[in-house]
Amino acid sequence: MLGVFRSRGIERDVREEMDAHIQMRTDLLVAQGMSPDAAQRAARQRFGNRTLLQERAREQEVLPRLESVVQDVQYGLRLLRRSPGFTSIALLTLALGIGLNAAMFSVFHHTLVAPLQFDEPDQLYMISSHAASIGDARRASSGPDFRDYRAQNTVFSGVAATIPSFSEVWTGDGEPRVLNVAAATEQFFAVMRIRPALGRVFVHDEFHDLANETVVVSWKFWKSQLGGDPHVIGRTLRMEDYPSKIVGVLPPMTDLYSDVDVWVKQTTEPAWDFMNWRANKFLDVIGRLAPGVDRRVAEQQLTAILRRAAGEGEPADVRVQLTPLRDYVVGPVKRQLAIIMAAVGVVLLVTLLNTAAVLLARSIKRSPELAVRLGLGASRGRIRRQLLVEGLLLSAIGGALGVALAVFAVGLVRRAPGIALPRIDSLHVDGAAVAVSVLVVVVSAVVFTLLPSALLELDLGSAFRGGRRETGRAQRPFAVLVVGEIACGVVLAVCAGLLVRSFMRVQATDLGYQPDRVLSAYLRNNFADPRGLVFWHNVLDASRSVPGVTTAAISDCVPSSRANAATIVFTDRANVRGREPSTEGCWISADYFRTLGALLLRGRFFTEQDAPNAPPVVILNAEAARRLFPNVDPIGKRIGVNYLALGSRSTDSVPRRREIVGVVSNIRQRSADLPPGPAVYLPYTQDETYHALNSMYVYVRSAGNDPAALGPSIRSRVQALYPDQPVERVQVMRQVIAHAIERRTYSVVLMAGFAVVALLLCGLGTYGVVSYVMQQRTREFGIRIALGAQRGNIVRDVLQRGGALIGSGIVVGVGASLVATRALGQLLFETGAGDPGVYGLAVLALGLTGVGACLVPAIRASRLDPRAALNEE
Amino acid sequence: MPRENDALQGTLDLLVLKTLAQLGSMHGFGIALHVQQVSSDLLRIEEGSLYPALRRIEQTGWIASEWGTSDNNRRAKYYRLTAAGRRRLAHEEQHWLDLVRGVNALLRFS
Repeated sequence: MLGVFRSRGIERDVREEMDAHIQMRTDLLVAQGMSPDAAQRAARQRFGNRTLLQERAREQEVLPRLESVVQDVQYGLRLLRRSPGFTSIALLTLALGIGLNAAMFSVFHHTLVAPLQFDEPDQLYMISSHAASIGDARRASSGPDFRDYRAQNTVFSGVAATIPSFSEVWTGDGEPRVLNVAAATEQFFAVMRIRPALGRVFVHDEFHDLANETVVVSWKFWKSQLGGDPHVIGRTLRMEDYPSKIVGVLPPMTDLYSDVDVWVKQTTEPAWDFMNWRANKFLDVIGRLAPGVDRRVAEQQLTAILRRAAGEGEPADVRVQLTPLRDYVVGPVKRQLAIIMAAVGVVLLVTLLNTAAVLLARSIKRSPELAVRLGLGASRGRIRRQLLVEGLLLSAIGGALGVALAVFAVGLVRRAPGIALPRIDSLHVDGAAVAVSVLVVVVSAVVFTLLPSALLELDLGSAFRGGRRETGRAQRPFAVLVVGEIACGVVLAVCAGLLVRSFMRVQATDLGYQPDRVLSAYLRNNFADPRGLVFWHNVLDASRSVPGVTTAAISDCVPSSRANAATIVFTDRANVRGREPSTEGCWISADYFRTLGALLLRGRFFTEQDAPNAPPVVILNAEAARRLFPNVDPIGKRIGVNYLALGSRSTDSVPRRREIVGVVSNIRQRSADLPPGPAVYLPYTQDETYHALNSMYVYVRSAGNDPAALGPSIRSRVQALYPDQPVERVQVMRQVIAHAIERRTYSVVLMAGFAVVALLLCGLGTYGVVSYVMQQRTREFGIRIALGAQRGNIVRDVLQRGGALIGSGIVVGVGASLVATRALGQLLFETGAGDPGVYGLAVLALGLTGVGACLVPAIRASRLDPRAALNEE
Repeated sequence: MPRENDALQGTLDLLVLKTLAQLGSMHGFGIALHVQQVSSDLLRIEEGSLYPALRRIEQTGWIASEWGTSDNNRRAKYYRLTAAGRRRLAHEEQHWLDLVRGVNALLRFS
């Protein structure tokens, strides 16, 4: 404001001074004998254009005045309105680039960078162990591991364990439901520093009072299932047919265990057998390092502690690893997000190149106008400022649109089904993302301005002389921009192409079974004893009795989604303790393979005769047969199977010897995009511990094409027998498979989207630049046509020039792609990072886009009316 | 105008500073008139460019101004040299003499 006033004052000052000058000159002329009128006219004439001079005097001021900035903004807005085509292209590209960037940066920052919600989260570590001698896989902790760590460590301020996820049936409040339950040891909430939102967490005495069950419910469960009841404390939940009193409600937990409904207490007393087995590693153990303790020191100490258990079967080379809790939470998506972020960066680069090209073209087009303004006395600084204001204006509007787009996109990411990102519930467009966007806006504005005005500096002389003859020099920056854009486009197209091809290969891959007419459902019950055998027998009978069902089966595995693990003990050769081969393992019923549509290669399937008391049997898949019994027929051999999940755990006892009765085709068990590993299948009736009977998936094969239609009948028939039995996760097999690879789907969709955006931007940018360059050569083309040049030659000439640029861009892009695609790594499925088909297609796409973008201006040039072209100047 | 010749602009500064050194305090018209008369009409300051120049020189701190009344009772802005202006004048004079000596030497070379 001060500047405006000061500016007014200066203006008045200057005007007064000049008026005085003219008056004095008039006085002098009158004194020399001129008439007053003539004298005044002469004095004015001699003085020149007063307004202009006044402006120039004002511009001698060192700082720009607010007044003139407002003028610049108004002028800039007028210019933008006057060329809507240019404005919309520039704004669209800016909004797209900045919006994508802000959205992805929000996701990136929130997921990977922002600290976890817990107090001093950097002190929290997940404890795991691994040993090279047993395959180096990451192992969680067992009850004895945890007790040893807790008793012997000096590095933690607190250490706690959880059983991260199991399910229990909730009855008595309407429709029976399966709840996600987690169990926490006494220190858990203290170590995590979680304070309850309502009521309290578990207290010390409760852990010694196992008769009275108490539970703490999650915020999500309280809100969605208990209606946010403020008097919920003291209410009873009936879980597994046993009443549990609610003592507290937790605050929202978005970062860890976000899908847990109910927390129960986990005693570490050796009251429960499964807490006493050293090899039964199913606990999450989280430690909070004491201040100042180095992670490696802690790892060494815990390693020493665990190695003392060598006598209990712990490998001698076992090593304990502390994973920062955040890495543990976000680990699986880190690389994928980084790749997507890089892709967004490339899109942003294309955006900036594109906008720079458009602005450059425009400012050169405007250079005669600017030269005239210079000639009329506007200072160079003033013009540069005008350009800067215009650039900023454009960036600001584009940036605002971009941020709006980002908010929209982040909302989409949060709500979209199938996007399995950790911590996604609390995702939002964050301040850092906005800050980065603002930075991008400011930098782009400065770049857009300095680039054209630097060029202007070179070229203003010729512009002022009234020419519009562009020289090669003025076209060079355009060449760089087009080459850069095309190169970026190639990189994105190649990455997208590789991912799409991988995706198609995954879709088309032979799963080893026929998923199309199969429906699955999850059932859980309370029977960990022979009653379970009756239960499952009845469930299978009920399922088979549904019209349209041809076969039904149960298993604790989900094909293409998950499998449990087992280790093998041989009877025909020596076993090395700790080095037993490891396989996938599943409990199944007789018709499992028939229902899924897998092939029997040798021997037989299980039958009803493989009952609890019949001789124990096992079926191998082809891969297990090949690895365990190379060059030998495995049928009739006997092996022992240590099952490493619910069911048939052995503490120290030797597992039952099972006769191999069949070999089946390989099923992609863990995921459609992971190769099938060796697997063993056991009849569910032959689990002596009955643990497997607790929770199973039911599979039915439909006679018709619509297996989903069978769901309601199966549920009603099961519930006719067991009214309180939940039937959950009713899904056709194709859904299950899609769910298992949804992360891949997500990145394919995103990458393909980015590639399309980049392709569009490249097309727009190339079109704009080539059109502009052609326009500069209008006169030349006019002359050539007038001199009889073939119009075809003109087109060829334009295409040759454009083609050279596009060609260079493609070469640069292919080179960059060969490097960049190495980062895709595991996301590629049966597709080489240098897949020639994908490169060919990407080159073709960019080439066609580029040539198409050149073709329009080329044809326009060839249709020139030579007279009009020559008259143009 | 683009790069309106630093030498010329420098000359105008020299004329203004020297005039003010000779006259003490003077308004713009007086400066222009003085230059014209002393140089026997050989030098004529373009009146339009005088005021922007005065403003610029004032901004750099070589001259200072205040409003006053002219001999025939017109309100006018009077300029006078500052200490910095005096130092600048010495520098400009030396620069000018060097330039003249150099050009003369070149002209007389045969």
